[in-house]
Amino acid sequence: MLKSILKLGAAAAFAAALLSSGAAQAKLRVAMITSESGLGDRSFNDMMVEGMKRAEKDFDAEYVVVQPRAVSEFQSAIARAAAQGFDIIVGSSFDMIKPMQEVAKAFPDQKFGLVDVGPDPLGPNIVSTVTKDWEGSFLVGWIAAKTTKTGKIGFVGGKDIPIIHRFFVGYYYGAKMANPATEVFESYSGTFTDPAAGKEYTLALINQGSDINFAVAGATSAGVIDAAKETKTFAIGVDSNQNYMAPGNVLTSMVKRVDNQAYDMVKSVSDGTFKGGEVKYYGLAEDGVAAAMDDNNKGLIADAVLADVDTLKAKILSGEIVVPNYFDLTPGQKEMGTPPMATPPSVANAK
Amino acid sequence: MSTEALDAAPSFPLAGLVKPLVQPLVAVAIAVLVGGLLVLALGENPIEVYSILVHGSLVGWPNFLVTLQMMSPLLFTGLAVAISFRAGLWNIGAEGQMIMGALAAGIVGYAVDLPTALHIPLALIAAFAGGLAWALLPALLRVWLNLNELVVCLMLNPIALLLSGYVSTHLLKAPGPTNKLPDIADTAALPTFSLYSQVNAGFVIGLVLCLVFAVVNGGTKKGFEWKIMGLNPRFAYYGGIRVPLQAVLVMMLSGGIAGLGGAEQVLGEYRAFYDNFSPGYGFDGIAVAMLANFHPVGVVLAAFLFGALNGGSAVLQMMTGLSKYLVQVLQFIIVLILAAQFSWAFLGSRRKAPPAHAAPAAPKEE
Repeated sequence: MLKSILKLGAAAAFAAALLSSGAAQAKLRVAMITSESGLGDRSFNDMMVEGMKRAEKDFDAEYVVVQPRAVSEFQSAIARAAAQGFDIIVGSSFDMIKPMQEVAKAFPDQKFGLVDVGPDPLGPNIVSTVTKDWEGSFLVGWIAAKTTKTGKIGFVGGKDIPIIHRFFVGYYYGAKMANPATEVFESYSGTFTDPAAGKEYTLALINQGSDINFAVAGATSAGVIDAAKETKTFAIGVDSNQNYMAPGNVLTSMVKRVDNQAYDMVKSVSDGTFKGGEVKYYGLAEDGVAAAMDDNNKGLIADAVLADVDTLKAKILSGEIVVPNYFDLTPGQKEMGTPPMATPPSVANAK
Repeated sequence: MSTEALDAAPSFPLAGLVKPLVQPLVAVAIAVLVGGLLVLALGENPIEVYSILVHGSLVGWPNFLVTLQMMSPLLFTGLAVAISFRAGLWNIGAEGQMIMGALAAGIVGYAVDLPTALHIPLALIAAFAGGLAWALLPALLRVWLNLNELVVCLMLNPIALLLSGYVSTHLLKAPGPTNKLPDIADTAALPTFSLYSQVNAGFVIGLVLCLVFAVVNGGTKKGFEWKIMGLNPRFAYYGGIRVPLQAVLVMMLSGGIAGLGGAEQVLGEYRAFYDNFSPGYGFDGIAVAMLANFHPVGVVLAAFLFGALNGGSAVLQMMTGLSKYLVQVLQFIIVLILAAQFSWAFLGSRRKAPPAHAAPAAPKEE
């Protein structure tokens, strides 16, 4: 019985392959490879599918989602997608860099895209993106300073390392621009994986009078949000929309709009502007970052403050505002950004 | 299920070969039918879906090699579970033992500087020892305190995950955004053969292990003793088998094999220990062992089936837009049917047994 099923299957597969190759001509075919957490992660994978859905409508494209179960399955998934001849293969996750590069070398005519990775070009047929998280942090810093009742806001970073300082500097700059009198507390829990530590650090900031705390700490962030819920203050989420984690106590989330980044990759193939080896930067002006608004944080931020977002966007686009990137600062520097503003003590007093 | 094996004195040799295949094939056939109805309910054509699945897992080298990659870890975890279950020891801790083996291989792989001829064997031994150590605890608790190894094994799984997580995110974490140990040295890497698949020399090790244990089980005194232990430990004890000692030995072997499965992952596929790397290979191993009727050759066949399902899954997702869960549902249906058979046979044997024997015995105590 099994054998006859197999035989029947092989024949039908051949027919199916013929059919699908015939239909392939009409539409732009896109393969999205998820990271190992897969769909339903309420994070990058889910967000990227949203981008795919929009692209499907706008560019007469057709997308499929392939969900590897483990990092070890990335390369085989990408390679077999490349062998199927999709017009572009889009992925996310740092762990996909190496597998995608390996496959891209073997399929030089295949187009690839990888969202939200580092600034290094990945290969002559791979487009990658960097999210200007410092501009997103600037935005939520602005919103926090406009919303705080105590005039004091906080920051809980995962570790005291440059990549996290970049969030803080943007946050600080935004808060000070919104209201120079705002006090901004800087703290680092020392871990990305310990919600309990996140909670302790946040409660300490709240004791100092901070009523809005920005969590940039991976899984530790859950503790920051938990503390906000317990003390009826606000937390700000990061990377993906975390507003749902404590409705009413998460002021907003600084989201990386990987959906827009993936959408633009499909667009570039559709209109022929795909340029392999390019690294695109996505900031506030490019809609690469945003403050997440949904039913969970409805009414928490004043309309007037939300209206500012468009003004800020326009100013960043025109160059009137340049949000400082921590990596451009030197230790001990006293002023940063355009318009220039005093650096936070952690930079000004550094040696 | 296993009780039937003894009284089955085949009237002619062919029946002996065919009989063990009947139950698994029935389970697979039912799963295929139910899965087909499911596909129909999703508005797809079942024949087309199954043909893509078969094509995507077997036809062409890339697809076939991915199937072998997917089946590799299951060879180890399936065999580990099979030899322990056959001896009446419910080692459902293959997941944790594999993780500990992987961690040990990952540490030896990067921290030690040796030529290939020594580095790979050392890393494999470390992995075996890691898995063995994780199985030793439930084994000793079983024979000393008569603690149920099933429960201890189950509880040790998350402990292994969290412990290895602590090591790979805090103690020995490699720099960078991913929670992993530093990459292993090239001298410790098990070679891969294709761009399309991470299948590596570890696959061969797994295959050889299965064949070795087929011989051990079927052709040696030890294999026979373990079988008797599984069928009736009290009888085994009165027959002169040192049951506690053998139980510890089987558990250690079982854990060590699961640990080697971790080495296959780290040295062959990932080339570093990644936190939380396993999507549940240890638990899939239980299903594989059950489908295999706890026979090592059956493990190869069952692992191949599960590998093919998972290997074909990616192609299915590319060509139909169906999700990866369809293939998982197929696997779960197989497991469900086997579990139903299993418990039915178990209940049947309890009903048949006279009251005196029905009292729960603790035969592994001396």
